[in-house]
Amino acid sequence: MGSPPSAGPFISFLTDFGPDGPAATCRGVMLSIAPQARILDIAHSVRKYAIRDGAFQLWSVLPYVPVGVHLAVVDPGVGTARLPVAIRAGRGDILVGPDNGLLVPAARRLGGIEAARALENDALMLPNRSSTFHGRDMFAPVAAHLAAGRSFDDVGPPVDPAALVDLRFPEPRVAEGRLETAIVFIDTFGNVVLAGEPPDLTAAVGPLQPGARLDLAFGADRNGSVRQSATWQQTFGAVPEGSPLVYENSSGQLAFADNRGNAATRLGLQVDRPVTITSA
Amino acid sequence: MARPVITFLTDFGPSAPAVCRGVMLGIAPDATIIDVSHQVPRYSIVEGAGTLVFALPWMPVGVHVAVVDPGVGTERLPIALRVARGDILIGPDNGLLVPAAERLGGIVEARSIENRALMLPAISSSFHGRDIFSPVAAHLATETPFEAVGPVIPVERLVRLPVPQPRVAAGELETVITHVLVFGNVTFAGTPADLEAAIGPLEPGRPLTIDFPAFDGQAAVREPTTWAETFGRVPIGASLLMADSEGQLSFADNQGDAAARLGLARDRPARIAGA
Repeated sequence: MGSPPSAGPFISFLTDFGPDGPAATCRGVMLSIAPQARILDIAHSVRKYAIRDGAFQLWSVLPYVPVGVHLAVVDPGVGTARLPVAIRAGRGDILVGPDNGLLVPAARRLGGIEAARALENDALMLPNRSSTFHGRDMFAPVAAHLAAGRSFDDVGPPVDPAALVDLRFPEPRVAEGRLETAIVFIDTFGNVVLAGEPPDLTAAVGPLQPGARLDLAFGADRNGSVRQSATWQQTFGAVPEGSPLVYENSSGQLAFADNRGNAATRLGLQVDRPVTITSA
Repeated sequence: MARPVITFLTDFGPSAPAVCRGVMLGIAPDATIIDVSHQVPRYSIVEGAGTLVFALPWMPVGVHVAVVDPGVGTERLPIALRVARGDILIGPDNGLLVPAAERLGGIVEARSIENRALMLPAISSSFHGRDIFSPVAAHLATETPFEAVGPVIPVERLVRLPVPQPRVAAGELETVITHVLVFGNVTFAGTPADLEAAIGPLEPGRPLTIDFPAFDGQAAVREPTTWAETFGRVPIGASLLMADSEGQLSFADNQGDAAARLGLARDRPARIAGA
């Protein structure tokens, strides 16, 4: 792996387990196997069972994390036929978790999926396996063994990367005078990440100067549709407190927020809701 | 050489543990500290003890500090327990540590923490987590031997929590909710063997009925459910009864929150029968 030998094994860790016991239990399992490992908790507050939220957080965070082993568990299908997998990415990382799409967007972003294997080597797992806590019994010990130097090839037989469960984030569509996009993710500030990047928006509505006025139409759900005017800005503080803005977020994506407010709560927004942006 | 491991559980919430971590790292700078939980419901010794039972068997051998201590500053003893696996558990003598110590092979020796040299110089009457338990744990994680903490106390004198037991009745198992976990999954006293003794063999897919009598302001609830191996064996939103990862009877909604849906809480009685 690419990290210098003195750094020791590195494991990042993301789950929907919440802050308490289960994530700590997995940390204990990993440190029992790889006592020198450094474990970086990315999040354990992923919305429960929300595979795509977890996938988005991995996609956003892992490019900034050292090369290493990345353990992720958002696994509503635990104990069913879904495969446990390890994926080797072009950058040299190994991602470990369920084959439900969770790992795939991040692996693509880390240089692409080079190889995938099913986790089948019992010698790398805990001796007694439950049917409901594979994070502890299977994923954490395999991740720790990999971090401690076990070969990727030891985890189990190869899986055709094309056969992995895929997960794609919504894509924008440039139409005549409007960008048809959708809500990809809502962060803890209530800031709303939209599908697409600034060039997609300029392709639809023309050049954007700070202060340019935009209309956002959030598609109908059971509370009806919502229209919102906002301005294009570089950052939050460019508009008065409580006012909305559209901006390029720190990952280069289009985003919508209230300055020092919670736009998602104010407007009752949810992931996947369609949004149409036009010039005002 | 592996770094010494200290695990840490409290009911302090998110910020006060940092002070204790600072104290521990000041004494044992190489320690790895694993936070088991700091969100134990305030003053709930039973919940804290349950979380330790779930977590500590999977921790590396080390020093485990736990502070859920409504009696802080009273005559309740601060104690250290050495267990058969080689771990040391540190905390108040109020029952918090004993169930986990038994899961780690049983208590080999118990000592009362009295050695002032291992504590902070000034001891408050309200924050023993910072002034006594953290520094003692950190000293034990470095070079200090277990015997240095204070005099031996008889194991049978330790405070113990009552352990709820299921009762096999005619055609049903009378049990009680012992824990409500983070996904809203509910743990009952008893194992599948207890339930089979009451109602016969448990085949996957067997329909069951759980009766929750009226309790603590909550109306009675009758819940039809299914014996299943894991969550995904029933439709999303449907409930199931299974053996949890600890081998205890556990009731859950697949991708839902069963405790919130039915208003369930710890100590609520339940009767499980065939449908």
